[in-house]
Amino acid sequence: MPRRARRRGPGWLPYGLVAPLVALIAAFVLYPMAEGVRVSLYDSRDLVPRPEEFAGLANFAWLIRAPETLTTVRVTVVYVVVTTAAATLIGLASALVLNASFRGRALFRAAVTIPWGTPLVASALIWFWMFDPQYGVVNYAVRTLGLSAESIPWLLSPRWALPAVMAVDVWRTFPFGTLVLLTALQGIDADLYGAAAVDGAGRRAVFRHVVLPSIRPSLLILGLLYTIWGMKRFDTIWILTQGGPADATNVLSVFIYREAFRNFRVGQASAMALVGAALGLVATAVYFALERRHETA
Amino acid sequence: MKRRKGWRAAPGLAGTYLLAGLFAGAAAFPLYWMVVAALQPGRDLFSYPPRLLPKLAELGVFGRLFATQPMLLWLANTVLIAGGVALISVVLAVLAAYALSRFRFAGRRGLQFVLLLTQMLPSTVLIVPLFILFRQLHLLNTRSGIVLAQAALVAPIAVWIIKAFMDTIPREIEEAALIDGCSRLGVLRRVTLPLAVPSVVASFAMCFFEAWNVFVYALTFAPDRELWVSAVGLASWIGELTTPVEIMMSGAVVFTIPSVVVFLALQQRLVGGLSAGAIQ
Repeated sequence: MPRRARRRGPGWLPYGLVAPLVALIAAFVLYPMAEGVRVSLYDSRDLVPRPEEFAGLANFAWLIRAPETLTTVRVTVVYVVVTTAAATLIGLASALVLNASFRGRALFRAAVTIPWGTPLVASALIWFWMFDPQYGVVNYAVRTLGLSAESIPWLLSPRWALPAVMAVDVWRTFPFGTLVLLTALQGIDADLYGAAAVDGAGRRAVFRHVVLPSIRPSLLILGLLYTIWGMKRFDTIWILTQGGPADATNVLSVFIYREAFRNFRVGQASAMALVGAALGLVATAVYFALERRHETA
Repeated sequence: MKRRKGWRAAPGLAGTYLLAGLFAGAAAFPLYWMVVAALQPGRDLFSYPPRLLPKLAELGVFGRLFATQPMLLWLANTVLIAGGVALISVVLAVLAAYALSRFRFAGRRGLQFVLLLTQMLPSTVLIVPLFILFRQLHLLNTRSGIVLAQAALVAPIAVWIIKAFMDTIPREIEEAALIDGCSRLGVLRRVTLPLAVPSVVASFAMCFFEAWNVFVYALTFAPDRELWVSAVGLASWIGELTTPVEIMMSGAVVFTIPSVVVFLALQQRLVGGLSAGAIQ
């Protein structure tokens, strides 16, 4: 619903206002994206490809054949799906609990917010110590609770490294869900509960027919944001495992970095980066479409 | 006086406290554990079962942190970079947010798409082409290179926060100034901007602490030790086996506290800026 500019049109002014921002983004986001397409066509071990290294689509052919690709796709999908589902569910559960009114609620709420303000690298450091195979508090808890007689070398174990880095992510991101859903829950009209009570609706029915429909838009946005964040995550994984052991935590963004700056396969890294950029474009289009529906609804 | 009863997830007050305590405990425990590990004589860290309480007598660890590690240099670099990112982001965002809030112009949707796109790219996607660009522009091993590249990713967040706020400022206030012969830019400077100050402050803080986290760009584009930011410095302790755990954790405490304090203070506005802000 474009509102018509009153009196004379704005002319060039809006373009002047957005020009500096557009220039910055063009130089440091859009141009590199385009340059990435070019680099992906060279089989270069150096960061500046030479003309004779032009390889056409060979990097993409390699990407399709390489077993590492499949591992990365699988690990990334598991990582994104599990962290999104877990963070959304824990966020929802904690929001429901904190939505009740009780003394000291603000304090609990503040405590739940803490992980979100913790810098990524600091949380990696903390969890690195907590996951220590010998002296870590996680193993202490696991052994005290009798879940395992042996200490588990969390970050060094191909089986446990992925769950461990996912746990760090969920710990850090679920509070955002708590806060978003808490805001949504508090926006529900109290009369709706009254009406449901009059209809004799039980607890479960109220949740399904009153609460859930009211917070559905927030849940949707939240799920989408978690998906995107999961796909973007690099810092904690790189610090905790560098994608290992045995590629168990080699998600897309770690794969790209490792290929380019550890294995010096710049072309292959760029080919995978294009896949990442494509996923980013798709995510943007989906978000944009949702937003438009939201706008017209 | 009976309070109207809302829908409760947990039956009974005791259950509510138990569950709330569980969530709050799970969220806060790692930070508690960071403090416990920082305030512990080194040998006690390697005891089984672990010591569960911090020792205030061990506060000297912070002295040792600054004496043995270039923590001060890392923090200074972080503040310079985060400050630069926040400043550039907010200035550019005020201008762009005003345009997006007040004018319908061709390319407006396209711009919003691009702003959103900057938030959707996996963090290492741009790293190789940016490295090539930085080499050409002689921006490798400079703070300004990191600032510019990071600001391009952070500024859109500031645009959303400020635009959402400007949308709530009635146009009538501006109309009056326009009739008085004020130019559009004059209106922005003298009328709209002063009213939008809360959102400008919030977005500055948001951008500052986004950049406080800067890691992969700093790691890649400024390997020179003199230019290390806190995140790169702290991460370098992992795997090198010479830095004692209590020093590592005290570094994490110093790095974490400013960020957590600001997030706690601003949580409401930030939630709005990130979720509702993107959705307009």
